[in-house]
This record gives sequence, C-alpha cells and structure tokens, in this order.
Amino acid sequence: MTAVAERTALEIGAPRKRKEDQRLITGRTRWTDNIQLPGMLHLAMVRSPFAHANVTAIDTEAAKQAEGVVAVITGADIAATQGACANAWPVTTDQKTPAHLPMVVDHVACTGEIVAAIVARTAALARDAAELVDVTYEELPAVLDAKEAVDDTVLAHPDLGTNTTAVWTLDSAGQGTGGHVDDAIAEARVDGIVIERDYRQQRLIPAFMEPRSTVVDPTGEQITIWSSTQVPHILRFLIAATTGIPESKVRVIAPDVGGGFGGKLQTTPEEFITLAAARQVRKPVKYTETRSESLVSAHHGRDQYQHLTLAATKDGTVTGLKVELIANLGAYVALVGGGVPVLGAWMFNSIYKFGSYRFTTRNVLTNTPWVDAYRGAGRPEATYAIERLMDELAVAVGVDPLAIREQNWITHEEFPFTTVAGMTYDSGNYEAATARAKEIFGYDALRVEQKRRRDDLDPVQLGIGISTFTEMCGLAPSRVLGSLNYGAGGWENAAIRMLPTGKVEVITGTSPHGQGHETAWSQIVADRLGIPFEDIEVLHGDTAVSSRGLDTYGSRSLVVGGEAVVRAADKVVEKAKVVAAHLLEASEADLEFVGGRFGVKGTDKGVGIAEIATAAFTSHNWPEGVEPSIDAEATYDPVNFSFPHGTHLCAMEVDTETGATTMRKYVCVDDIGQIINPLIVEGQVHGGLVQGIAQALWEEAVFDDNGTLVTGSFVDYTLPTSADTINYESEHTTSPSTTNTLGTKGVGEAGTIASTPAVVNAVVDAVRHLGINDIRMPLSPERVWRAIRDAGSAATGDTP
Amino acid sequence: MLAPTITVNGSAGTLSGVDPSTTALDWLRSRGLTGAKEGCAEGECGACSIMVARPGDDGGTRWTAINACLVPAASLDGGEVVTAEGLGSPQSLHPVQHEMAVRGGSQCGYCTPGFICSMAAEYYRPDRMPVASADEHDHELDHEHGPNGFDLHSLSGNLCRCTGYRPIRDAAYALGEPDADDPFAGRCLAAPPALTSTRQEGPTGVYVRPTSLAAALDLYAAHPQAVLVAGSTDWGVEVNIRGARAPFAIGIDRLPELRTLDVGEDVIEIGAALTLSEIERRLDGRVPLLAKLFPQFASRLIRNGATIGGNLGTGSPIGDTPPALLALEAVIVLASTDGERDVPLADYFTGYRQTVKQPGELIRAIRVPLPLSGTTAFHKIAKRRFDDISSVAVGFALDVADGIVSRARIGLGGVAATPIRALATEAALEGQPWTADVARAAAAVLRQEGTPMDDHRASAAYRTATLGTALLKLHAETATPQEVGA
Ligand SMILES: Cc1cc2nc3c(=O)[nH]c(=O)nc-3n(C[C@H](O)[C@H](O)[C@H](O)COP(=O)(O)OP(=O)(O)OC[C@H]3O[C@@H](n4cnc5c(N)ncnc54)[C@H](O)[C@@H]3O)c2cc1C
Ligand code: FES
Ligand code: FES
Repeated sequence: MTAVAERTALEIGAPRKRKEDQRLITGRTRWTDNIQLPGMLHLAMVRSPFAHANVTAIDTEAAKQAEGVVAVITGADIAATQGACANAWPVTTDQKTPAHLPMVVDHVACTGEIVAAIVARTAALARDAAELVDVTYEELPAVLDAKEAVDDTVLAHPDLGTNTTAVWTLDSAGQGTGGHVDDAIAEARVDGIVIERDYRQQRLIPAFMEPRSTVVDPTGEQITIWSSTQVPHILRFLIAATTGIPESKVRVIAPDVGGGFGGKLQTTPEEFITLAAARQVRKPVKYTETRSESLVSAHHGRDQYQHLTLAATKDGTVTGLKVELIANLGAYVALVGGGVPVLGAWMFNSIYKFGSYRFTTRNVLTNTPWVDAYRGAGRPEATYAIERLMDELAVAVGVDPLAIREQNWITHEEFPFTTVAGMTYDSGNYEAATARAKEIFGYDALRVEQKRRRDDLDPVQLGIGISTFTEMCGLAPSRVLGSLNYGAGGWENAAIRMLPTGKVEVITGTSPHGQGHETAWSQIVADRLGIPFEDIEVLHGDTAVSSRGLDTYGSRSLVVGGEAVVRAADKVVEKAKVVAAHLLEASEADLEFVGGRFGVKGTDKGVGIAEIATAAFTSHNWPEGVEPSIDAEATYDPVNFSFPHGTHLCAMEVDTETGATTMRKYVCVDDIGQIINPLIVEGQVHGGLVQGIAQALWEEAVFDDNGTLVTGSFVDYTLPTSADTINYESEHTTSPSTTNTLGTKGVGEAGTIASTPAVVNAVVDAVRHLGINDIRMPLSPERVWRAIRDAGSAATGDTP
Repeated sequence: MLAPTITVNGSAGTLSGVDPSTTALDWLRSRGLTGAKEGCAEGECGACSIMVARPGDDGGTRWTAINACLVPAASLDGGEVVTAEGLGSPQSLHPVQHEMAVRGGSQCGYCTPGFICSMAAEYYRPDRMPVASADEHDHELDHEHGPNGFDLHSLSGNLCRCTGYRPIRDAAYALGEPDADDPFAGRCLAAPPALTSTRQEGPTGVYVRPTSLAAALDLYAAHPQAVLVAGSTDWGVEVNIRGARAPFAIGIDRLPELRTLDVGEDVIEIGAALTLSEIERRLDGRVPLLAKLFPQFASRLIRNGATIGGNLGTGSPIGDTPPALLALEAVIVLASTDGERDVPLADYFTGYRQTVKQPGELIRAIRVPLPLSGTTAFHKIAKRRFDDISSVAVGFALDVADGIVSRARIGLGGVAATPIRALATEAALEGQPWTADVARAAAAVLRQEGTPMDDHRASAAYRTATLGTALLKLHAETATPQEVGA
C-alpha cells in the first residue's frame, strides 16, 4: 500500500475563500432568470389594485387578441388544478385559516393578488397584454391595521366571520416553569416597579436582491421546476400535496438563489401559477417578477403591536413579564406565518431569570400582503421588547442599564438552565461577552462624553444603547415541532458519495442562498475524511440529487444540516475501516484514522480513504459479505435548540435641532460557538447587523388608506447603502454548544436580532433627559425631531 | 450607415434588429452576458452596473460605471463596454474580483458583478491617490475613504442586502494600483471611442444621434415631439416603469457643443450634456455651492450618467440643481434653429413640469455669473443620507461684508409646483447684520415660503421646520463670534 501524505492543517476555523465566489464574482452564475429553454414562453400577472374586492367579471378578449399572446388564464380556468398556498403551521387546533388560492377566483383580500395571467412569446409582450385584461371589481371595505382588525368591524374575509385566526398562550404558571404573572404585577404595583409599554414592530419587506423567478418545464417525464426559493423540498412536497401531481413526477431545483432572509421561505402563488400555465400550454414557461411586484407580493415581515408589563422589585430584580401581542398576518396565514409570533414566546425572557411569565399572541388577518418569516422571525421582535424594557427598568431604579442586566441574567455557572418560558439553555457566558464588549467600546469614556454634552447643552447629544441578546437556532427537534402542531419535522439529511477517483460529493438537504454552504460543508468533510478541500463538491437544491431535505431557514443549516454531514462522514469512515482492516490484513482495533489515512498502529503500513473508494469501484479485493460501497447517508434530528448570545453596544449622535441621527460606534461580541469559517461568519454578522439597524433607522412598509403600498419601489423603500453604514467592530467569545458534535450555534440571524434594540436604546438614551422614553421605528429624522418637539407634553407612562 | 455596434469585453456586438427602446442591460443579457442583472430597472440598486469607456480629462479615456438598465442600447453605439465577465474569469480573477473573494465581499452574489464594475471604475480612476501617511487617514473619522484613496461614494449606487457592506468596503480599501501591463489601465491612455452618428429603427420608433448641434437642432425642428435623450436616467425610468416609448428620440449626450465647460472672467458656462460627475470633477470645488450639492445628488452611478441639462429639462419641482442654481442666479442658454436666447433660471419654470422652452428648443448650457457669494450652503431632506430623492431642498448664497448681509439669494425645491426663489426671506436678510436674531427672524420668514406637501417621506410641518433650521445652521457655522453674540 502506498502511504498517503498526512493532512494535518485543520480546515475548520480557517478563513477559506468561498468556493461559490469564483462564479458569482465573475458573473458566471445560474440564476433562475438566466435559464432559457427551447420554445419557452413568458408569463405576466394581472394583479389587483384593490386591497379588498369581489371580482365580478374578467374580460380577456382584448388580451387574447394581443400580439404574441398564447393564453390568458383566469382563476376560474385553473380553479381545480392550481393547487393551494399551504399553511404548514396551524398554531392552534381551532385556527381559522382562509383558503389561499394562488390565483383568486372571485375574492381579492389584498393589493397585488393575482387575478389573471398572460402567457406570451416574450415577457414584454406578456406585460403589455396584461394591461388589456379588463377586470371588474366591486370594492369592499378594507381593514389594514392589526389593532383595528381586532374588533371585527370590518372583516378581511367576510366568510370567516372574524379577523382573529388564533390566540396562542404560554403561561409559566400553567406549564410549571414559574409563577403567576398577574400576582407578580399586583405585588409590584404595591411595593415595587411596574413598567408598562406599547411598542410597535413596524412592517418590513425582506427585499432580497434577486427578484423571484420560476421556470417550469412540463415536457419531460418529470415536471422540472426551477425556482428562486429557499425551500425546494417543501415546495415539491406541497405541490404534490395540493395539486395531486405525484411527488415522484415533480423535480424542483433551486439554482443560485439571490438572498432570502426568510422572504423566499414560502410556496408562492407565482410558483403555482407558473406550473399551472406550463401544464396548460404544454411548453416551458418562465415568470420573473419586477421589483415593484416583488415588494408588494413577496411576503412581508414583523408587523406586531406589543403590549408589555414588566414587574420588578424596587431594587430592579424582575419578578414577572406579561406580553400581549397583536400580530398582523396579512391577508392569509402564510406557510409559517402564524408561527412567527409564537416563536418569540420563548425569547421575551431572553437571558434573564424571571419569576413569572405569560405570553399571548392574537394573530389577526387584514387586507394587506401576507406576513411571514423575515430574518430572525419572532425573535427580533421579542429581543427588541425586552431590551427596551430593561433600559426603562434601569431608569426607574436609577442604575446603569448594564448593571440592571447583570443583576437579572443567568450567570455562567448556572448552565444548563431552564428558563421561565421552559427552554433549557445548554451553555453561555454573558459576563464574558459583556466585559469584552465594554472594553472594546470604551464604555466608560463614552459615558463621560455623554455627560459633558448634556452639561454643555450641546445641540448634538450622545446616547449609548445596549442589547444583550440570545436567540434559539437550529429549528428544530421534531418532537418539539410536533407538540406545536407544526406540519413537518426538524431533521436534516446529508449523504456522502466517495467517487472512484478519490473525489467526494457531499449532498445536503439544506438549500443555501448566500450562506456559503459549499465552502463550509467542504471544510467540515475535509477535516472529517482527510480529503483535500478542493476535491470536495457540495451538491444541493435539487430534489433529484438531494432527495431528502428540509432546506434553509432559522439558522438551522449549520447546526442541524452540518451535523448531518458530520454523521454521514463518520459513517463513511466506519464503513471504510472494515475495508481498511481487510486490505491491511490487520484487526480494526489496531487501526487509527488520521489525516485521511488508516494506519496500523506502531507500523508504517496504511491505506488512504481515497484508495478505498477506488477499491470499492473495482471491488476486486473486498471483504466477504460487505457491500461494495463506502458511501453513506445520515439524517439527524436535533436534540435541542442552540442558543447563541452576545452583547452589542451602540453609540448614536442625535442632532436635537434636526432630529438627524448618526452612528458613532458599534461593537458586538457574539458567542456563536465553534466557528467553521470566520470569513463567512463575519459576513453573516455584518449583513445581519445592517438589516437590524435598517429596521431601527430606515425601513418601513407604508400603505395609504386604500391599502396601496406606498413604499412599493426602491425609491421609496429605502435600503441602506454602503455610505449609510460604518465599520462595526465584531469579536467572538466561545462557549461551545453541547448539543452538536461541532459545537456550533448558528449565526445567520444574530446580528439582526441584536442590533435593532441597541440602536433604538442609544437614540432614546441620547434624548431621554428631554423627557423622551420612546420613539417609534424607524427613527427617521422627522420622528426624532417630533419627539423632541413634543417632549414637554409626553407622559412617560412610568408607575414607580 | 453601418449597423450600430458596441464593443463588449473586446469583441464587437451588433445592434441590428434591436428595438431602440431596448436597454443596454436587456441587450447584454440577450447575448448571454448575465452578470449584469435587473434588480429594479430604475437606477436604484446597481445590479446592472457596467463599465463604459468615456472621455477622460486630457484627451484620454476614463472607465465610468453606469446603470445599464437605464440607457438604450443604441446610445452605446460605437462605445466600449466591460462587464464583470470581461474583467476576469474564475481562472484569472481581476484584482477587484480577487479582493472581493478574499474579503468575503460576496454572499448570495446577486449584487456582486454590479459592485465589481463600480469598484473597478474607481480602481482605474486616474486621480485616485493613496493617502500619504497613516496619520492622515483616520479610519474612525473617515468611513468613506480608504487609505488607498478609494472613494466609497463610487459604490453608493449599489445595494447589497447580504453583506452589510463591511467586507465590500474592506475589499475596496485593500486594492492596490493597477499593474503596468493592465490592459484596462492601458486603455485609459488612448483616445476615447470616437463620436459616431447613429440611427436605430425598430417596431416602437427610431433613435437618432447626430454628431453636431446644428444637425440636432434641425432634427428637433423637424420633429418637435421628439424625446431628447441625454444620460437617460430620467427617460430610462419612464421606459422601464411607466412603459413610455419614443416614436422619435434624439440622442444629445455626446454633442460636442453641449459638452464644454468654460470658466471666464465673469461667467462660468457649463455644457448641458456634461454629466454631474464630469462637472463635479472639472469645477473641482470652484463653485462651493455646487460642490456641496453633488454628493447629495443621487449616487455616483447615476451622476455618471445624469446630465445637468436633463435635470432642468424635465422641469421637475424636486430636481436638486434648481435650488442651487437659483441661488447662484444661473441663466439657461436655450438653442433652436432660430438661434440662442438666455433665460434667467428664475423665469424658466412656468408651472408644474412646465417651462418657457419652446418646441424645437433645447438647453445648450447653463451660465453661472461671477463673482460668487461667499457664504453658501445646500441642504436636502431625504430619508437616507445618499442616493435618495429630496423632500425639500434649499440652496443659500449670501454676501456678508462687515457683518452685514449685502445680498441674499435663496433657492427652494419641493415647496411649490416649481422650484422658487425665497424672495421674502432674501428681503428679510438683505441689509441686515448677520446676527442670530436676524437669522432667527429670517428663518421664521423662510418657514412661510411656499407650501410643502405631506407625504410618507416627510410631513409638511417637518419640511417647513427644516428649512428654517437650515438657515440657522448656516448662521451658526459661518458667523464670526461677534455676530453670534448679538
Ligand atoms: C436612482 C435615481 C436617483 C435620482 N436622484 C436624483 C436626485 O437626487 N436629485 C435629482 O435632482 N434628480 C435625481 N434623479 C433624476 C435624474 O437623474 C436627473 O434628473 C438627471 O439630471 C436627468 O438627466 P439625464 O441626462 O439622465 O436626463 P434624460 O433622462 O436623458 O432626460 C430627461 C428629460 O430631460 C430632457 N432633456 C435632457 N437634456 C436636455 C437638454 N439639453 N435640453 C432640453 N431638454 C433636455 C429630455 O427630453 C427628458 O425629458 C434620479 C434618478 C434616478 C434614476
Ligand atoms: S437594475 Fe437596479 S439599478 Fe439597474
Ligand atoms: S451578496 Fe447578496 S445582495 Fe449582495
């Protein structure tokens, strides 16, 4: 046997350049919209300009006559075959779930809903013809705001009889993880502190950069669907489940996908309609949305009213938290739309030890575009509320906001710790992250400067914002999902194919769209199998290749999907070991596997795992009774969530004359467990931070009184540009997760979850001496200016 | 006439059979160059950014990044275009691509080719000078410039939703100098592509680009309904978003007579077809009020295409140059086959998107009289710091001599159907001492000028208040201590 060079340098932890970049950076990419098929036709949608209406007639004659038009499709035409946009998570058994047809038949429940579609030779001709479809609408009164929806005066779906789809409660007293929150509040009202606040989580638009696109080719034995989706496996399953096409007849491919942030975690009307159109005309059909279609019709995020009551002792020890949410789900209960607010239930208590807790969300329907997961999904909303409240509590007690957090948080000796919400946190060290963040930030010096500016009546005031957050990643143990009535499991699948030439294919059920799985998974397998990084190819996002998978969302890919890859790799090694023992004529007990090579202990005899892969191909010399393959597959169901955490500190300058805010400094120290690739991690952290900061400062979906989206283009929905951002300083502390082999915790959403309250806390801190204790997001210069102007009359709402 | 041809990544591509309404982006993509992409089709996202060879200073060529989604393909006839595919390949990355890969500048990658083109254009900027010493470059204070002289504003027209920009900025600031044998740097030394006359006909209309002003005026006289296309940053949005088509379009962006900039004894004359980037560069701070305006006008990507004539041509009440040019008492030079006439900008606007411009008349130049006032400022309220349209904008030009305001000119945008002069405020200032009290009184008058509207960008109350604050800030920043005291 030839000796294989031993690999010693570890891949895990190395800032490997991303494999996928070679293509992406040189423009040689496979976006869905790039796909051209012979005879392909194009689709354009006719969308409702009304938020709420009955469709009484559709005249398609003129459109049918238009140049290049092949077919005009209405909801009535495809009612029986089009399938349905499913809700996978009815949060209560009696949840009211309006039927969500991809193309409406006679009732429009929000602006942008699809009423008809045109199939034409080119996209431009299809769009021109779409203008010619004459739809008669009978306008109905629309309900847009979640609070207004509660009393059912105007119904989003008249046939449902109510706007409330579900009321979901978690009570620490009921489940035995804490006391009665009303008792704690009553007690605090007598002898303690009660802080009662209303916060608004404005509606956001995920605004991924790649507009959604779907190509359906119905001409093969299997119908092939390319789609810019985060969830190819879920899409295939739901197409089969709702259209009656056998699952085996559908292949879904998510080629390069340009961002998602939850926004492509959906099975969309556009996908179902493109499928129906292709089946009708029996030709490949492509649909690519415009930006303005994307902003109104891809699902939105957030949109909650939060009513919060925090009870504490006089010295600031929190005794109870009551959370009452009204969550606007939009016009339909989307894929996991009803579950998003529910996911927050375990996070309002965050890193703190509270004596009692009750969480209730009232999920309501309105005549607005549907709302579903957006980066963080439920957890940013929760973190925002509690981190804002902790600042208010510090003010009420009269101590530094860091001190009040320290007084209430779980100390590092206390892990594992079961929280008042019933989660068991396995690991964490809030003290370490906070100490490090304070140091880098120069906390004390900035407090001195803040005081000086106050004393000098400087028109530009300085504020410091804190956010000590945690989140739960790695959705999710299947039994937990089952107990929550979720429609699927939380496992993930991976397979490893050892090719005869010594190269390796890793097949993953996750479906990356910017997270760099091709690189990270290669690093993991390179270390596990001792195969060079370059020799590993990661395949994903194609149901014909990776037949089992639950895709990418909820920071689950590394924690769950990565673990499946580890387990598959370990199975490969186990299988190869049997063969190595045979080839080396040694006993398995005498073998050690180092750097890709099985060696016989104490000798220089050995065989490389790549050679064994070659041997499997010929199978000439193979142990009796052993299958001639060392390929392996693993499906992993997580035992617990993982709980990344961190401390974020933000300094904001506020011009009290104009209301303009400027970020001075932002420091975050996150504990995300073991890091596979720091380059990828930094990118995820920074990208997340900016999305969270953007919620605090710039972004909001605004509707006019008719339910038309006013912020319906990038001119009006203002994403931050590079010049709006500063150099955030990011570091890591590490307390490895104990729930997976790699000790990873998940990083995709941490920045977004933590940064929003840090920024808002900083701005409020800058103007608090003027009598301001809240400003509604986004903190536009005008809102800040108004708050300052109105400050004199603003009631603080405190009941000390 | 030859079929229009564009040199793309070194090889010639014909436009034969391409409709004049087809954008450069769609044309490139139809040729399999899918690096540039449509993220919005209205100049906001930069996913469509490409590099084009434009005239540089001193007779050379300058790589300039523009939005391919906004310009008609026909307008690039005779030009040279470079896309991310042409800059490098996976086997041999361009230095910009290499830095982006090393720093993690790409995540989903959708925005990346656009960033690459914007960044490469800045990489080749001839006057990009590394900062001399580390001390001079304080990272804490200057987030917008790299130690290598990289100006972050060159990326302000490119949106990325994934990276948070940090890795992209790191890549930009790590770039070195082009190698001696860098072909793109070499190209800059040679003359820019020659001006060609173009005629492109298709189902929706015809696009014609004459090579002289006289020819353009003749055409315009013959087709008074023609659409003039300069940088196409306004027109491109009309085409893409509102479905506008021009039965007859005249390309005026490269007319030599519209592309001069002369600084004379008592007037500066700016050619109407100069882009805002070109004007910014060529004035080089000579008109401080305009120097303050440029960075707040759209993004560099847009300014690389947008002309000053185009900004005035639409008669839009929220254009950014009118408030500044009103304060500068600029004069518009209108040309037609009947000759030229000068119109003070204050008389140019007659109503909402209405001007004194007659059929067949185009803007040849803008004249700014000299000497300039010493105290100037430009303020614009927008939701985002850069690349955003104005809610309101105000330009100030004051002469303060011996503590007395001898002359005040104030231009306002976004408070009425047309840009206007703040005449009452000017009167409240002129002849008065430049004191805090006078500034406060004038600010109160300024708040009454015009009738700003309410919308989701800003309320009328905020718009008015901000106008006043802008004047107070100008006073606070410019007054001498004695003046502040009073
Ligand atoms: C993303 C984006 C951001 C923007 N931001 C801003 C901003 O911050 N501030 C701002 O003011 N504008 C902004 N604009 C608008 C636009 O860029 C400017 O108005 C620009 O100056 C138009 O110049 P252009 O050469 O591109 O005009 P074109 O689109 O080529 O032409 C526009 C109109 O002007 C007419 N026209 C052009 N040249 C002449 C001429 N010489 N004589 C007579 N008529 C002429 C044309 O007939 C046409 O109707 C923005 C546009 C976009 C797409
Ligand atoms: S496509 Fe967005 S700027 Fe051109
Ligand atoms: S990398 Fe995804 S938008 Fe920039």
